[in-house]
Order: sequence, then structure tokens, then C-alpha cells
Amino acid sequence: MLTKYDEMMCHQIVSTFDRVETSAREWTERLWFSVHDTSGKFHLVTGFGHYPNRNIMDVFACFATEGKTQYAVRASRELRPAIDEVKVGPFSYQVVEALKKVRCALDENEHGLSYEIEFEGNMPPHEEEPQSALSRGRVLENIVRYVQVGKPTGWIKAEGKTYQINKDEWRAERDHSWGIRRGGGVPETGVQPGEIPTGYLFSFGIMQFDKWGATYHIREDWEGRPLHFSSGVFYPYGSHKEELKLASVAHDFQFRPDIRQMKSGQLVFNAVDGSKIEVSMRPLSVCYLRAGGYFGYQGFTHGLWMGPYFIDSLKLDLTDNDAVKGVSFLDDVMCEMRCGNDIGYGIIELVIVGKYPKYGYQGY
Amino acid sequence: MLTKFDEFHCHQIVDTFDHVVDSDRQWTEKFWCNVHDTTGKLVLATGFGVYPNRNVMDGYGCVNLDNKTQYNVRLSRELRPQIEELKVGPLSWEVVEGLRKIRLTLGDNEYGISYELEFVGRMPAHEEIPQVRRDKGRIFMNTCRMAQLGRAKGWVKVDGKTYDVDENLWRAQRDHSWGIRMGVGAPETGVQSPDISFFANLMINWLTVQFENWGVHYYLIEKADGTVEYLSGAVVYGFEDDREAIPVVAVDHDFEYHPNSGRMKSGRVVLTAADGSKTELAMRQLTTMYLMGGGYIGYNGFYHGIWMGPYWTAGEKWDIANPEVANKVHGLDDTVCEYRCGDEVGYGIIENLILGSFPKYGF
Repeated sequence: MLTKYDEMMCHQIVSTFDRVETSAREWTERLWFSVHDTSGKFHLVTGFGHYPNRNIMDVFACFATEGKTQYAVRASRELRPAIDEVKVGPFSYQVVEALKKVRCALDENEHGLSYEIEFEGNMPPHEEEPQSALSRGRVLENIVRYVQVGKPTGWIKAEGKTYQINKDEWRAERDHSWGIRRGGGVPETGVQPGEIPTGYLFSFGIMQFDKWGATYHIREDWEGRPLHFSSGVFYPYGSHKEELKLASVAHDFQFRPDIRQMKSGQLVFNAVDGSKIEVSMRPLSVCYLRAGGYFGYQGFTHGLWMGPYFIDSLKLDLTDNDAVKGVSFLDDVMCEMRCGNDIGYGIIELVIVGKYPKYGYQGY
Repeated sequence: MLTKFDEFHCHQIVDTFDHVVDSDRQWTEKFWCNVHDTTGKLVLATGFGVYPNRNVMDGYGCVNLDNKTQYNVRLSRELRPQIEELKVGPLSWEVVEGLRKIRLTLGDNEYGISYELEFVGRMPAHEEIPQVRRDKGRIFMNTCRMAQLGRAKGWVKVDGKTYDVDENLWRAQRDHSWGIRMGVGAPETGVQSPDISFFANLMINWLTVQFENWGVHYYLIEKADGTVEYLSGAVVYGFEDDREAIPVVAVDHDFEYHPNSGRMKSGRVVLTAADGSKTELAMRQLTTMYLMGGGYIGYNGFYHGIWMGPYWTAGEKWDIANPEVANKVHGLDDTVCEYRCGDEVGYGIIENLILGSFPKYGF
């Protein structure tokens, strides 16, 4: 089937853009987009998933306000024939200027959350090292991703109240990834059970200061051995400074007593030229992405067939500890970052499963 | 390397758009557009080739005026880092509206022709059946192609004189293909000779024609003994027409050629559509575009995809009123024809290439 993308001279396989190179169900193209003020009062995360081998496009938006309430709207649709539009019901996403400006919107709807946000990158996107993992010879994960920091403009409206977004007091981060991913749809049946690691750490961070920004993405086994590492320090457009390559990132996180969520933390970026950058983090707000369908929540999971069109919403009381325990897993923790006299803002994601003795965890 | 294309939701492999699925040198993404009036006064062809595994982009613009003089411009450049721009020097191809509108430009240059045109699609693009061929287990052809009928507007300047291109009076057709192609770059050395038996004694015939609100595309490869090796085609209808395209399932042809030449002069085809209906088309040559001027099958040391250095241009004028010159530059030609179907008059092109012997037409 011809698509609008077929007009462009960027084919990668001998097929139209209706198809990808493999028929693996797990093929996912994903956008993640985070917008927050610098005080920790407002924090919105939205994302699209595009599953050509599931014939699905889905989307979510989670909006946490003042650490008290989190709204979530989730929607899904049949992918084809409108495969060339990043749009599900009232949700839409538009590239205004490639690698620089994107716009996302949630039009007025009956679920009480809407917004229109334009992201303008203030530093070039960082292309991560591809992630790949095998399990018994089969590709479990094979992902290419780029990330970017920027500043947003626009508005968010929740339950009738409108919040204006300005570039002075708000920050934004985004990523775009594609490839084979875990966690979509429902677990396969009739297959050998998956391998369960003794322990595993995943952490992703992205932050911006006025004159620089940084990102990292690490996977470790329970003894802290790196399974994946990608990181970079980047500089604003116009600075003409090349990205600083990093050799490793050391982390020291402190945790809440009840759930595996960071309370504070320190990072050390070790550059290939031997220099070190130390950053300390203080969480200001948390947005619980599981409510948006990451690994499934209340009947909605990324990539799960929900029929030709589906939309629902929910509201979480973040002051209720049991509700938080039930939704916490992949959490976007927005932090104030300090590096010497520099103050910046950004997002830390941290998931530890099973055993990880460094932080006192002895098992699942 | 990140490219602007990576911003879009259309990745097909786990990599950026700087790469294609494999490292085959023959990977080619190709564009072609042909614009002509309905009297045979002027025919223009332009095209691009993108070769991600050769790090080359090349292109051409050619004009045949009065079927007497053909002007050619060929250009080539290093592909990266500007992998996202379909532009080589003054020559460019820009998508204005996906599957609908294209802007074609050849800016000032030293070879006597320039233009600024907009292709305006009138009928939905036709997606051909992919062609896959192997030689001793290795794929040498694996291509996807789409073709579209439309109109053109803008202007063409030839030796200082400007010709207006009026959307009502001019016709246009274009294609876009990608995949593994043969005949790209210089022949490989140090490898087993290719098995060319497939290409002995066969006819490659590609046709596009448009009437007021319908048109035909077909691609036929037929052996001299009448065996159809490949056929993909359809009868298509205008954008405003609700009728679905009908596949063409058989082509019965009767062609006439210029004396002692493989250049087409006239012909008749009877198309059988999937619903059993038959369409008879009679065609008469108005003029011809000799695509060798754009480098098809090679000209003067230039072959599509071959490395010509970071930036290269060439061009010339051909006196094709002289049949000897025309015979010399005949190869893959776009023969512009007036087509008749009952009372209807349409216009389009036919490409007809005979390799080896083909007794039906005396070759």
C-alpha cells in the first residue's frame, strides 16, 4: 500500500512504507514527550506507539499536578489505512521542523484533559548507541533512539483550568525510538517461559542547564555489570561545540522506603578525555507512566488490540500511598539538577527489578 | 547519522535513514518524470538516482525540441552529508504534496536548457507488482515502483527562448522506484560472469497514457516466443472518480518501427482487464525522448550510480533530425504518442526495448 512517506527518497527496504523489515510482532516506533515547569507543580508526559505488525497506533497522556492528582487519557486505533498520520482520536503529533520543532495536541474531549504544546529543541538531538539484547538466540530488544532537550510553549487544560506554558519557567524533553521492544501487547502463550534475571537495573536520564545538557541510558545486571551504555553531553545550537563522548556514568541513588523510587541521587559522568562532571539530583515531581500503558495498567497496555477505536481516562490520587504503590514502576522523576553553580532540570527514569545489593535489594 | 527523515514515523529497519536494509552496492532509489505538449513540439525528461551504498546521487534533465535537437544535462555528486535533499547542483526535485504534487527545477547552467515545473497528479499513483530476479542464487533485481499520470505547469527555456507549460495543454507522467537494480555503476570485476540468458531475445515494454478521466499503466516483459515474463498494469481513473483501478492481465501488441531501427513509430495494443473487458489503443509517435542523454545504459563514460567525484556535470546537444544520430542514441526511449481509443484522444509515452532477436518484429 502506498503511503505519503513513499514520496520521500528514504526507503530502507524493498517495499512501501506500509511494511517494516521484519514481521516480528514486537516492532514498535515510539515517541515520548515530557513537559514540566521548574517548580514541580505541573508535569505532563505523552507518547505515541506505532505497531505496524499489530496494526495498531496508540497514545497516552499523563498529567501530574502539584503532587496530588494525576490525570491519564489513553487511546488506541486500527493503524491502517491512516498509517501515515500520527493521530489517534483527539490526539495528534506533527513535525514542524525536523529534528528541531514538533507539536503535540490533545483536542477538547470528554475526558477533561486537553493541550497544545510546541517543543523547540535548544540543543541538537543525541543519537543513542543502539540497544540490543538476545534471549536464547532470539532478539529480545533491538532499538535505535534519539533524545533531545528543548523548551515548550502552549497550554494545558485539566478539569476546566488552563495552565499557560512559557519558555522561562518550563522545560521539555523528548525521545523517538524504533525497533524490537519488550512490554507490548499480552505475553505470548504456548512458548517457553522467558528468562527471569536475578536482578536488573535500567536507568535513563536527560537534563538541561543553560549552557549544556546531558543524557545517559544504562542497563546493568544485579552485580552492576553494564549490559548497555550510551551517554553524551551536548551544547546549545550555535555554540558549535561537538558532543562530549562519555566512557561511563557512575550512579548513587537514595530510595523511598516503601517503593523503589529515587528520593535523591548523584551522578558522575566520566568523559573519554578523563574529565568528570558531577550532578546531584533533587526530585520535584513524579509522573507515573504505567498509567499511560507502559507494562499495562487498568486494562490498557501498549500495543494491545483494543478494537478499531478506543479511548478512556482515569484519575489517580497521588496522596493515596496504596494508589501510588499500585502504579509505580516506570516513573518519570523530574529533578532539579545541580552541577557546581549550574542549576538545571530534567527527568530520571530508574527501574530496579529483583536483586541489586548495592541499593540493599536482595530479591524480587 | 540522524537525518531529517528520522523525525517521521516511518522507519522500516532498526537504523537511521542514513542506511538501507543491506549493503548491496546496487541499492538504487530512482525518480523519473516526463513532461510533453500534445503536438510533439517539446518533450522533457528529468530524473534522479540515489545510491546510499555508493554514496552517490545523480540526475539529469533533457529536452527534445521539435524532434530535431535534444539537449542533455547530467550531474552527479557525493551523497552524504546532504542525503535528504534531492538536488544536484541546479537540478532539484521537491515533494510539494505527497502522491500529488512535485516541483521540478533545473536552474541556470551552461548547457542551454532550464525549467521550473510543477507536476500535478490527476489520477492515483499506481503501485506495480514488485519484480524479483535471481542469478545463481543472488538477487540482481528486487524493485518496487509506483507510477502516476498528471499534468504539468511552469516554463521551459531552451537556448534563450521560453516555452510556457500550460496545465490544460501539457501532459506528464512520473515514476519512483527503489530496491536492487541492475545496470548500475561500472560492471564488477573478479566475479563470475553473469548469466544473461534471461535478457536474450526479449522485449521490455512500459506504457503510460492518459485520456480525460482515465488512463493506463503497464509494464510488460515478453520473450520472443511470446512467453510473458512479467506483467503489471492497471486501468486507472481520476482522483474525483470513485471507480477502483482494474488490473491489466494481458497485453496483445502490434508495433511498427522506423526503418532499420528499434525506434518506435506507431502501434496498436489490446489490453485485457481483470474484469474481462478489452481496451484497444492505437498510438502514433509525436516525438521521442532519448533517455541515453540522461545516462540510461551509459553514455560517454557515465553510468547511473558511477562515482564521478564530489561534483560533476556534463551535457551536449544532439542533432537527432539526423537518423544516424538518432539510431546511435536510441536505447531506452520515451516515445511520446497520440493515443486513440474509439473517439477519445489521449497522450502518453511508450518505452520499448528489444534485446537480441525478436522475430515478430523482424529483429
